[in-house]
Amino acid sequence: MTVSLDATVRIPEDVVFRELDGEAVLLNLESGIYFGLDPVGTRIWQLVEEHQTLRRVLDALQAEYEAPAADLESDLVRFVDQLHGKGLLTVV
Amino acid sequence: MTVPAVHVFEQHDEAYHLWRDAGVRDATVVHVDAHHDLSWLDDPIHLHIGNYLCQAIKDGIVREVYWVVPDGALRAPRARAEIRRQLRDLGRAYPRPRRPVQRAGDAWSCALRGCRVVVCELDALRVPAGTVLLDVDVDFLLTPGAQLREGSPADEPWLWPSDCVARLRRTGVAPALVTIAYSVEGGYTPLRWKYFGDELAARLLGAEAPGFDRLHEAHRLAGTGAMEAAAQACRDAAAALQNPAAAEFALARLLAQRGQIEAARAAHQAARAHDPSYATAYNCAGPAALARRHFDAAERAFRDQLALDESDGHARVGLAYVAMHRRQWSEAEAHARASIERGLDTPDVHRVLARALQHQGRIGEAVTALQRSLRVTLDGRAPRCAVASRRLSRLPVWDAEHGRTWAALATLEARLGHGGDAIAALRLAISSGYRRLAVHARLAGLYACEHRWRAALREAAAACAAAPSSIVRAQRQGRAALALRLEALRT
Repeated sequence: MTVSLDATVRIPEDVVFRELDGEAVLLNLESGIYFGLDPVGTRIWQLVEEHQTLRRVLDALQAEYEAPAADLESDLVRFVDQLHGKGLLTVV
Repeated sequence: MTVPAVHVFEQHDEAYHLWRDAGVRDATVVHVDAHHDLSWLDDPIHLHIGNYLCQAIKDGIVREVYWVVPDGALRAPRARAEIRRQLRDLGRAYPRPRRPVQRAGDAWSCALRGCRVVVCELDALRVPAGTVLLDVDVDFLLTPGAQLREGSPADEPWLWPSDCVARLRRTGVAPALVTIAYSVEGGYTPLRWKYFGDELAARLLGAEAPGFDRLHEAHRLAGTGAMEAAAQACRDAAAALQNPAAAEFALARLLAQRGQIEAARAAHQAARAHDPSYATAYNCAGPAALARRHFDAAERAFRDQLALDESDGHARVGLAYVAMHRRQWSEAEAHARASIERGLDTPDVHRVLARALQHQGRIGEAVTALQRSLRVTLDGRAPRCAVASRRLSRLPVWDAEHGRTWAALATLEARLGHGGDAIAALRLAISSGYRRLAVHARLAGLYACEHRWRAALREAAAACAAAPSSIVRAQRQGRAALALRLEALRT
């Protein structure tokens, strides 16, 4: 399933986000899956927590990063797809 | 005894992989070891040095196990009681079919999951015909029967490799495959005797072993005080052996005893250069002394090791542990930092540093150190003294203290007023298996502070549920200790 920009995403209760020594990790307490995030991934996660809808997240990213909008959009969708596939996000 | 193939390796569970890859089925294992290595495991991901025989039974590789224990283990009352207790515990852990522990002449036997397990001493070994796997742990030669309960090796071998091989030949064992584990990591075999693994292999294959003979001669000479002759014997052995590291390591120790520290350093460096495994955390008597809480002896051993190799980060961490136990926090910090500067980046080093910082009131720095500890664990690194094959979960986590470290981090973060981070850390502690009453109770308290009443109630209930199991666990441990004493008295 490919996530659309109009989707709303939620963080499941069983998923914990922690910053450790300058890097971030996500853990799904139910499945035990750990997922390391790079700085951009960490920022996207924080924006998802804040905004919940991907279009707003994309707007915020465009304001922060000097990158072509199309690249940001495809990176965001791929990232959210990955997290969704690992049970670290639910897409409504 | 003809031996077609001999494999020598560090961690004993490697034997399982070799048997499996060789397609062995329904074999009899002659397991010559100070430990049974039969512990039950539910999931092959948890395979390690203590349970690989169980997996071999489950996979149909092994249908019969002869556990050959050191001489005297079945005669010394305490050791015999310990062996019976271990067999009974195994019987309880394994699913049926099983048979209770029985005595048959000079051996004990039971059955685990349909596999016959016979415990005997070397001279009582009678192996039936069929495919036989000879599986030796070097720690067998170093753990006297009477010390089996403690499980710690002696300074000197109770049986030399040549005698062991001669006695194995007399039993008529004809193995299809021989596996030999050094077992230095974990402290089962002192590093100075690691070469026994190679010597056993050479002698089982019927090869001449003049280098090993010379090394034994060095040991004997050193015992009589003929240090110069002993040093020369080490040099001769180094010249004769394919891997001279053992001889160079022995030479370094001799020269250090004689105060020839520069020459000792050179010999030690040569040993490490020829065989990097000699740069292990178990390169001196320090870890064993530390485990027995003999802090003065541990400090001496670590300082002696640093005299031989100033760059040895393991010895620095050892000194940090000694300082920590003496509550010398600034010294512990200095040693921990020195080891990190020397390239040690393992979970336990950062934990020691965190504890030293915490006791000096530097909570923010302690949090950073604990975070680093967790980070390197999640990167797949094991503590220095962990046996590397002991994987704890499907995650690449080899650190038995992982859950406790999350809980320690939560405590510090709560002190800093970072309630959200502390909650996440406690949840991670619980999910890592650290399900203690206190952890659930603290989590309940933190939820209550954030007015998350439902979550607080859930954790309070979990704390109550954890309470009886803590009590039951304590009761069970007490009963086991009492039973062991009674058994020893009775026998």
